[in-house]
Amino acid sequence: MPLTAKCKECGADIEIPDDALPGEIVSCPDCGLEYEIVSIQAGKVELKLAEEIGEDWGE
Amino acid sequence: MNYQDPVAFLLEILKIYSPSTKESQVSNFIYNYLKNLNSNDVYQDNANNVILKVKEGSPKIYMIGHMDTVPGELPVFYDGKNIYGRGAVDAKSALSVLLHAALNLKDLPCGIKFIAVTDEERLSEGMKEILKHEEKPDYSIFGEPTGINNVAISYKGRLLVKLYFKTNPYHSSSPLEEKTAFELMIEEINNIQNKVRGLNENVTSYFDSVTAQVVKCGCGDSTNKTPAEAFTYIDIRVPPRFNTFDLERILLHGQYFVEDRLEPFSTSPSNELPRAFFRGIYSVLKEKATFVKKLGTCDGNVLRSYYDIPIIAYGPGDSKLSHTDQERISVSEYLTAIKVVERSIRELCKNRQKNIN
Repeated sequence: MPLTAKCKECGADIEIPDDALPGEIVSCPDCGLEYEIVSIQAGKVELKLAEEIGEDWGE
Repeated sequence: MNYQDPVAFLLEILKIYSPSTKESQVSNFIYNYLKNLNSNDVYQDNANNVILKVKEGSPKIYMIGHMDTVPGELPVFYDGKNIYGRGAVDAKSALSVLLHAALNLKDLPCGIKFIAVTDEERLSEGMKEILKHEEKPDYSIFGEPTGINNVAISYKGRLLVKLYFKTNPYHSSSPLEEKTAFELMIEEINNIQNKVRGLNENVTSYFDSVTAQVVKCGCGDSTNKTPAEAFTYIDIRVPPRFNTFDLERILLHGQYFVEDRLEPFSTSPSNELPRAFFRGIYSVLKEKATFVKKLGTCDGNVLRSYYDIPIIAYGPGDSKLSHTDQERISVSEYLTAIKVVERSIRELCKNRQKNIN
């Protein structure tokens, strides 16, 4: 069974890929809120809200 | 030169000065380089693009770099650490990274094409020609200088318009019976910028803001006559919450001409393509990748205007040096980027195969 976490905004299940690494971004399938994986071990995953993605003016 | 030597190859393509519309020599060089590597599936098209079919299979992945540069020839040399020259950053290093990574991926079950396009720095005529004869890919990676830790996942779009105004001319000393073409132009520019301010209410980032900059304007042909004609070019930058047609409808009326239209795109960082690059960067550099949003445009915007597929840009180099006379690339960063791209495409194919099985 795939590892999941609850979205803090809407309560939907967020599926965590089985090969996910800390630092990766996962999105809530319902509301689109993005989370960063803080840690993943022994079938438990800790998420935090993803920081705003940086901007670069170039091409 | 030694074939399949990425440093020698980069030096050779930098020595061939190739501003937009003058890419035929560099195009021929890349074509012959690939032919000499026993690549039979390489061809050039009507726009001087070079297309290498690395491998048939699924999913279809396009790795696209541009051969042209901005104008301004610079001396090309290698000081043992960095390579200098026009295009060293934007974007012959990234093009060569994609090419040499692609050549190492023949064992994969994926369909991989490497494409070197022309005219990216001008009107994207090369990319537009590719879209006439190549089928829809499933993923596309564009070679642009993001730095080896960074992956660009979003680009703003662009709507370049020319507004035109015409009235009657009057003696400049006379009481005016109507607005001059210049006054109409200023009024319309103010109208557009007021509407833009409204669209940006509560928006806090540049990336998500609409911008409309006057980039060129003109009027009048005499010093004692009011201008009967005026024109202005307005460069409207479009965040992914709009498309160019939305903004055309909201912002423009009267007589105008659309000179350029590029749709914005945004690939979710949790999509399998950015994920594969996250894993590729982690695997090679042992560091976390950073995702970035670009305020400018690239050929990815042209592709996105045709196909709704995941697109990213990646490549070595500091984008702040793009278009400057200080273009230089660290050879160590350049060679590392080849490993990152190769690793990332392998991750992408591995995950796709796993999902199919």
